[in-house]
Amino acid sequence: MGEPSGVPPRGGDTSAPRPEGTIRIESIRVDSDHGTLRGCDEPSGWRFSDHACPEPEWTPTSRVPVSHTLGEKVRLELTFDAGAALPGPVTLNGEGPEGIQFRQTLPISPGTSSITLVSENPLARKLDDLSFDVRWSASEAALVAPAVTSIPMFVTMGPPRSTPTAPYEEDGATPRRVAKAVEWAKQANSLDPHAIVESFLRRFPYYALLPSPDVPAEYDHPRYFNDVGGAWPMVDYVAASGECQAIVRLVRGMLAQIGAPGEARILVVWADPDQGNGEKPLVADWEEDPRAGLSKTIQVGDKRLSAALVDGPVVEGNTYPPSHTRLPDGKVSPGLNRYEACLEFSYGGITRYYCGGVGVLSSRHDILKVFWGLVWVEFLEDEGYRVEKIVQRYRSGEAQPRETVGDRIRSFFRRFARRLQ
Amino acid sequence: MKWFDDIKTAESEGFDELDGHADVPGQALAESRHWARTLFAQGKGPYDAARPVRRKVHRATKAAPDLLRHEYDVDDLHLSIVEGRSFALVIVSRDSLDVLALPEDERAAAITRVAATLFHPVCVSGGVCFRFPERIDEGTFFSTNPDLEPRLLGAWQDRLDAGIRGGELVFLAYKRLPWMAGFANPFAWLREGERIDQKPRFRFPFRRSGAKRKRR
Repeated sequence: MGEPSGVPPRGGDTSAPRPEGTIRIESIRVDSDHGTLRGCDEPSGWRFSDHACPEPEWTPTSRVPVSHTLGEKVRLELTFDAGAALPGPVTLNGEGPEGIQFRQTLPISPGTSSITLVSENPLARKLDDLSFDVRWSASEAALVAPAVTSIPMFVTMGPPRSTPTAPYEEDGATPRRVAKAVEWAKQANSLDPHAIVESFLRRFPYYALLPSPDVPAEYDHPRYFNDVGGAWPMVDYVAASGECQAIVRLVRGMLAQIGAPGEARILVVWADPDQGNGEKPLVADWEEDPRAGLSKTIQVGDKRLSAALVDGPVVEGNTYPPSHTRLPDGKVSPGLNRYEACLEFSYGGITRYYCGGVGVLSSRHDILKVFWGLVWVEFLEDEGYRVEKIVQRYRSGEAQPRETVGDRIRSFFRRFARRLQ
Repeated sequence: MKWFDDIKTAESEGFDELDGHADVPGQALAESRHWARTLFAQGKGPYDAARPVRRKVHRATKAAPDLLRHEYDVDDLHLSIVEGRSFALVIVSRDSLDVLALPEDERAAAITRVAATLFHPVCVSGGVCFRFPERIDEGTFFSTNPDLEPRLLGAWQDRLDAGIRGGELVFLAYKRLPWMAGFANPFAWLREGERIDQKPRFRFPFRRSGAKRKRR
């Protein structure tokens, strides 16, 4: 029951609601949304579509997702039909999620009108995937129909990108992509782009370099060079991971969905025996030079030696099976590499490096420590190799003779004895 | 060339017919399909549907490594592709193309034409990639880039080899993993659960994911 106000109605009890005292909401347009979402008509796939999502976002028969910047007020254009019999100005109230409130006095005139509503308080400063449900009510005994309107709303750091620039269009915004990016970014519990990238990378404990039988061939795992969403289908096959370049494309794509700043690049890092005795990290942007890496050979007498970065301890003069051969004791043999591929992410004057499965690094020099050392090897006919010279060691650790059960028992008792001291 | 010797040994030991894919570990099959897409032009690879392909397998013995063999027809060519873990040898049947029966000055062009038909047109486009010798005869081998060490290639396109062996035209493509120096173990390709990319990694000690354990 509302207070009487404005021009007193003629005749009858104005405090009682009447059927004709209904404010019927016909449509809602979110004026403060970014307007950059595309592909609302193709909700099921990861492919980008350049069809702009339709407006208005809410009608009695449709709900179209929007994206909105966090920490900003929500501005709606509401079109309604007040009928012919409302007596005078009515205050329209809207209660949205998380304390969002709208209040606006309606200058009632018969028929259809449009008003702009601005929320009294801003959206929370957090990434979110909201159902923007607003419960509507009105003063002066008027009814609002429907009483609740719902619009899917992605709360992001800035506008998602409407025009993709990436070759596989991973950075173009679609509702499904924004929803997934928000879902993943929320796990960071932070708005710091570095923290968000780190949380993305935590999902990929290693970079895959060979195709997985678990991923449909149309996605071209682990490269994800395809026209059905590029690197995006990787989010459905996280356990199979992907190449470093594919993960970088996905990270870039996700950052573009949530409007986060920062620049991600694919770096390959290696060392050369002839440059600073292998101590100096050599770096290339993989997208500019996809062939980059260590490719050095020398002829010494009748031997052709190749330089390689070895990922486990080796001994000069010893012979090893081909890289990463599974040994009878279940371990794998030291592997030879041309480079380490890393994601470089820069924002706010800080650069960090994410190399497959080795944690977060803060300098390029640290990346070389992924390897045990730089060596000259002679390849053998069975694809094994003999280490001719260790040029540089990047971390400690000697090649150990194989550990026996006796060694393990002795080690256990040594550690036990130390604890008792 | 050792791989030719390996194939010869495997042939003497015998290949088993492969009725379906079930007899090949999923990982190896995924790799084989991946390389078929990577190396061969659209519609020319051994996994393109609607083409009957006869497949055989040789499982590693002490003498010869794991090998897959695909036999099928493309256009007018009858192909046998012998695939190891690190290479794909394409043999063009002499019945379908006898290079040595062509006049000498037409052989190079014929080889270039076949290469351009079969492989992705990265290196072989334009027909100027192979560095042909003066004469192409039995036992002649040539390459698009003979100076590059196959074990250190940045990509398979950097070097494609070809030659005449037993009167047949052969192409040798290297299934290069660009991050790796050398090749993976050719005897451990068709072993169940075999992977070389999920390698154990050194983790830097300055970041701990879990809470510190309380010392007693």
